[in-house]
Amino acid sequence: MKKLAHFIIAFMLWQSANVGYAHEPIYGLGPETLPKYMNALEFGTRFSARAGTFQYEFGYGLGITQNWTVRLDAPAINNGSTYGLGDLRLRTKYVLWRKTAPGVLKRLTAIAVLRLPTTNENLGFNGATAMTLGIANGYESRRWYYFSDIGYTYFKSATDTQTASRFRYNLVGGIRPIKTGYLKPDLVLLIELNGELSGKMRIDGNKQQKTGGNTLAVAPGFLLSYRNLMLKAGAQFGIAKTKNVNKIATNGLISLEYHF
Amino acid sequence: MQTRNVKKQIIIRLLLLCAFVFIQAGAKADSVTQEENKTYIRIWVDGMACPFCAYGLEKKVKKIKEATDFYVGINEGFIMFVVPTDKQPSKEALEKMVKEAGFMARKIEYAEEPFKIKEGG
Repeated sequence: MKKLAHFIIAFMLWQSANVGYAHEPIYGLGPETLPKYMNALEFGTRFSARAGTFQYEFGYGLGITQNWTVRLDAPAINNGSTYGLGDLRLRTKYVLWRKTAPGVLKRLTAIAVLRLPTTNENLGFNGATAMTLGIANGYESRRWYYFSDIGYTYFKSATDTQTASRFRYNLVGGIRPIKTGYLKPDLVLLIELNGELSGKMRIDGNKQQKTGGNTLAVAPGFLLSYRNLMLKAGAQFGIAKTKNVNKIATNGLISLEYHF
Repeated sequence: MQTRNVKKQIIIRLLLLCAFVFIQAGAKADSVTQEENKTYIRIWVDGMACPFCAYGLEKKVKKIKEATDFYVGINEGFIMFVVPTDKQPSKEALEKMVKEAGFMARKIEYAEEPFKIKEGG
């Protein structure tokens, strides 16, 4: 039962574990990379209704080249009674294809995420190192935004509980309602459809039959920027599920990103 | 004797006035020369969809020595700035700069006069 509780908390945190860069999905992977030698700092907080946890996230990103960005995220979790470090994540993105036109940018980006099991045992530690490989594409214009991505996550557990691999997919649309100038606040509204297909969890090598399935969530959000500062906020609501998985728990996030 | 002193005073004042006029004229000539030595650069940038992303270009332009008056026409798709003519960057250097910011320079223009700005931003 304790193992299952830890799994649920870890699952909830994993659901909301991806903060994007700049103009890209809040919950999806996104194709955005930083300009060469651009630094990005991000501080955000998330709340998961079902797990009852607050997660504070500090991220640092660096554009190695215009096509290659690396980023380190260090979350801190507060579940009401305990406070501690969450799973550290090292992320990298590489733009495979880029096409530009006046006011339009299209990109196809490969993404890799390594998640290290650094969460305290009382905060949902499941001893699993996770590796995500994904691909994201994006269309950005002065008015419209479209993004889609897919990602596969493999867990390597140090305990007897083997978390099931997951396949995530996202579809995102966005609009800039007012086309403002450079030195004016810029608002983009987003609506995301986040899906996840998970396999069966294993305990002591045995497949747990009552695990695995498909979940679908919808997540409205916004990105509000002023020059090199961006405020992002969103909320995710589970809308459907199949088989033995829970609906994605309602959660929300707000974060501030600074480029320098 | 008094008349002589008055004449002397007038001559001194006229000389001072002439000196002042010459100094002013010289300063104006210098400023005109400096104005003439400015190069206005406008780069039409493809892929610039949002102001937050355009900050990458601002950061790059500010690394160009003595570049001033940076302006982004986000809705028209260009950036502009001014440099001293003797420090004017080459087209290749500007193309590289724009590429490193994640965009593509479609057209680069150099001018001795300021470009006209239509956008209000």
